[in-house]
Amino acid sequence: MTTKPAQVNNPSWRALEPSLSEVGRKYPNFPPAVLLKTDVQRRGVTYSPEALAQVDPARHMTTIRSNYYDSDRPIPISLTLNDGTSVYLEGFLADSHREPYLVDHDGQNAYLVDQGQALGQVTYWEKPAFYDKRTKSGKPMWQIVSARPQRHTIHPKQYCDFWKLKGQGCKFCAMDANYRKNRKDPRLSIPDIVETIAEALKEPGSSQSLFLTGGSLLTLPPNQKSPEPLSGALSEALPDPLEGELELYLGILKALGALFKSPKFPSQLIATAFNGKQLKRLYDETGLMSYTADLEVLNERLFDWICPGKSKLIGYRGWKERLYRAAEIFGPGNVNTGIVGGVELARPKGFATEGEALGATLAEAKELIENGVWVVSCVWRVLEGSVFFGQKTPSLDYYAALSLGLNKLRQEANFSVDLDNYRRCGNHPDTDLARA
Amino acid sequence: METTLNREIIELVNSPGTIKILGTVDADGAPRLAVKESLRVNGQGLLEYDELIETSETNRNVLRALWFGGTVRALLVTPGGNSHWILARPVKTLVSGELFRKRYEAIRASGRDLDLGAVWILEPISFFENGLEKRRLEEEAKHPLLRHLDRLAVV
Ligand code: SF4
Repeated sequence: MTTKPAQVNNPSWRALEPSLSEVGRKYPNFPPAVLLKTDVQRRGVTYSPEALAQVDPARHMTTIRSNYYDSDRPIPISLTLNDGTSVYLEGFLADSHREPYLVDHDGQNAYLVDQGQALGQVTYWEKPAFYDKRTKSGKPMWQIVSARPQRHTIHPKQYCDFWKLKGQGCKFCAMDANYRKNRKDPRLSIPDIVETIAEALKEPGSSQSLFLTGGSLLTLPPNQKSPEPLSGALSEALPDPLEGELELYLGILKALGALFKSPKFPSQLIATAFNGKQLKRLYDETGLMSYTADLEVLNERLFDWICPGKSKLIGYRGWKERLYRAAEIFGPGNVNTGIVGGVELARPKGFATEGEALGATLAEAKELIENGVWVVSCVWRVLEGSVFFGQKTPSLDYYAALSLGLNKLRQEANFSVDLDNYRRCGNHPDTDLARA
Repeated sequence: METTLNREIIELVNSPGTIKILGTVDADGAPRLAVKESLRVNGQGLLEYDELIETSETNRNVLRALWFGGTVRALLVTPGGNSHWILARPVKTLVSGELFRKRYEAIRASGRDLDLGAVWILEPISFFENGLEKRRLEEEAKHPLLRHLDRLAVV
């Protein structure tokens, strides 16, 4: 078996943008390993037959069931560089605008290779023991909880209700496509989750955090085709369309709380932006220690275009207000918002230049951090099944500048990135920079 | 100076009686010293130690050395007061997986309520005996002009 790269549209693509080494020279203080990770996430990977021959499904993590990607093929889910930097791939192989890196193996070690040059030694993620066990209900535990280097990830609802409303899903998002392709249960059961986490906790030193996220759960009147705007940004009026989502996470977190001796346990929830009353319940009634609600793009006009459902339901300003309220409740450093770095340049409505996009994004990030909410970015991977499939992501130079800018803002505000650090999620080059 | 650790120095590193101090530099070039009880030589002849404090200054400095091609220095002091140093290059850090877990279990089994941030692997570049008597003899052989006259005087 071998993995083939997608066809590259323009064979001269290298001439059109700065290379890894050029960007490295431009930013001499940017850690080379993190720059390489960023470029690998941008360009994707393919595996040589030698590299695939070294994959041992009994030892390496090759199976995953998640919001965006399901696989049980014998391909590594992700890689780790020698400095501990995760290169989170979820099996992502390549986009159509640039050639992917090659993962090759010399019989001793695996390497990331570009144009014949080995650029970094990597290891394949190891599989925790619980992956081979089943719940009492008969489900393979790897389908209930997935592992990152120091985090256990739970995707309790692998479908987003915005996709039930025509044209309301976020345009970069492939959750709907992944759900349809894999015909899986949209919801995990709480007993399955608790049983799997209890089993995972038997493996010492394997996790520093529990992480929950899933698609939005909207309780809408039957036949409603579009989310009704809430009556105000901070509306606490009932019935609230997010009450069902809140109850889902309250139920899971309360059940998980029984597994710990302390009332609070290191944990993160990425959810739809809840109102103050809902956030208070999450904080007061569960062991949850940090909270995230993703703005995805830091510009109101682009948010309205890219995330129409979120925009209609809560609105850009309402979303921010709810994040600020969350920061008051969860405390400094414990609330962040994720952005899909680069999506602000999506065609046709995105910023015209990388410079303009960077300036606008960092200015908005500054306002958020001044209100207690820090911004974390990931590299926009143009996913098959998303509305934006086929678009071209920005240059490596852009991603380096974005990561440096976000890290600097956090440093100036003295914010810790513990909740989303390099070995919890591993998907954020900007928080990798906070390690040193 | 030698680049492969000899048996004597391996025994010294692995001896529980040896005081082991790791020297690093921060981003501004300021030195930092930290006692690393867990410093050991592994089966491949590489230095290894457990970083117990994930966000410690030393952990940051060692990482920076790995990122930008820097070095660190281990100072070993025997119970008799003799000392050696090893210059080394950080080559890998383990933050999860099998070896990380083994070290985590060993640390937890020690009975102290400690956590594990990383296992570091350092490649020795050179090592040197730094004891006073050895250095005094070397100094006098190499720099015969650098000594106080009263030490030689007969009056
Ligand atoms: S809210 Fe948007 S990004 Fe999140 S799952 Fe739904 S469509 Fe996807």
